Amino acid sequence: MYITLDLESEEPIYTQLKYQIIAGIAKKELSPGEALPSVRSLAADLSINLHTVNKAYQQLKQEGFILIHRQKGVVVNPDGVPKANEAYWSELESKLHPLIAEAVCRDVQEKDFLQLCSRIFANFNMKGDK
Amino acid sequence: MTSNILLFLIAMMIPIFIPLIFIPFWTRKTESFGVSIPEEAYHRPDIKKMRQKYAWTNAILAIIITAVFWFTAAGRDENFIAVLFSILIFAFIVVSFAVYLIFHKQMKELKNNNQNWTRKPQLVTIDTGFRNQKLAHSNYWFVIPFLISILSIVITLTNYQLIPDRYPMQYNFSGEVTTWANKSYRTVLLMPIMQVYLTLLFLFLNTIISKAKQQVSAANPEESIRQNIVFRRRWSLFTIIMGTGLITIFMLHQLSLMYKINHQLLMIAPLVFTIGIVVVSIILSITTGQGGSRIAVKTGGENGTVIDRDDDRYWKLGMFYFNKNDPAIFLEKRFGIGWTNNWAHPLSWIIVLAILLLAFGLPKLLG
Repeated sequence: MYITLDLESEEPIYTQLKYQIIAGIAKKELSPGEALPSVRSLAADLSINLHTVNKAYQQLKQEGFILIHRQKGVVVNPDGVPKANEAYWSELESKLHPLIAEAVCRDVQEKDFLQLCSRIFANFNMKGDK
Repeated sequence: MTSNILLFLIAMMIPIFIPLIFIPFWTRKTESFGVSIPEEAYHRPDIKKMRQKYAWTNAILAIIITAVFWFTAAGRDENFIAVLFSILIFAFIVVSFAVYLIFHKQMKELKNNNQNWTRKPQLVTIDTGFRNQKLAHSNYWFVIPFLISILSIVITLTNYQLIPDRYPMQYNFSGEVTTWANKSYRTVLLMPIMQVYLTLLFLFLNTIISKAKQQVSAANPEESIRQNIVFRRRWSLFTIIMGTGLITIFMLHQLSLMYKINHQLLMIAPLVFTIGIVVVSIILSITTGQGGSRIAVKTGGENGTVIDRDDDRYWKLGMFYFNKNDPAIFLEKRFGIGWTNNWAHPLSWIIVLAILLLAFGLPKLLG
């Protein structure tokens, strides 16, 4: 899978990196158990600080997307990403809250918002069937 | 006889001249005189003209150096010729670097006048599976030169009594001995120990080839990865063959201390080998290009939507990479063929010092 970062962007590099890996898993471009580059080699290839990669990897590990083995290195969680539970739902809600609040202020219709969501979902599912 | 020596020395200059003349044509198309540019700018007539001008300047310089050498060296003794040769080569490299700096400066100005070159989104792309692929040939190939080196040691030690008390170490151009060595276990082991050192050095070079920074074009990732893998594998194979050949030639010389080996073979084998290496490396440079940029691959990538990240500020004089935030030690050269160091990484300095120290220290210690 390709990871593309915009080092000039306002979005921090570690979040860009984190979301690209999550998107890769969602699109099934990264399969369970697949090896990811080590912290050192990923940082060297991207010309970024080791801590930046480490931060992204640690968060991905805590959230169950990847495993970091001492010998085997970094792999996509072979058992799959943990399914959504109550905690996840409440977190999702609190993350969506400000986004929808802003959309309402800007007069975005509910059906347009949902349509956008469907489109993004479809994008992930389509890639998965390939 | 002297004119033969002069011709031979002039032939030795060619491998220094050719790369310095043709480098601008061998670099990646996203670099021009140490400045990063969008790929489509590479074909602009003014930049094309700069490349031609640079090549001609260096070619004329090479002709001048050769002429100066030919006319001042004629009829002089060997020591004079040797010193003259080194001075002229050094002068050529210095002047050629000055020429490069002029073109580098011009190129920087040209880039400043074309602000739209840097306006596109600048991205850095990598492939997470890149290092799961075979990037270089296996380091196990170095078992062969290593065994040859060990065999040299074993033969030397078991046939120690066959080695004469005084034996030649160095010859001049006419084939006369200039340095003699007094036989001892220490001196006779110099050559085999250098063999071991060189084997390890070539093994290290092969490791660099596989470990060096991944450079993927953000505009054409697939194409550039395929080119890059071919580039790495070709130079890896070259390193393995060159290393094994060199160590075999060392062995031949070591054996000549104990056994009668045809004198002509001893003189001609290294010469043929050197010429072969020079020719092959030039052919490889022309057909492969830096990073594989001259290899044709069949994928029509889209062009012009994004460009690679502009890291000019980390390239001092467009040639020396100095980036404290980059944990990479080895990466592709910008202006040239092959790899260079991140000089901001302390390990770079330690590695270079260790290689030099061993190269000069071992002969001093054992010779």
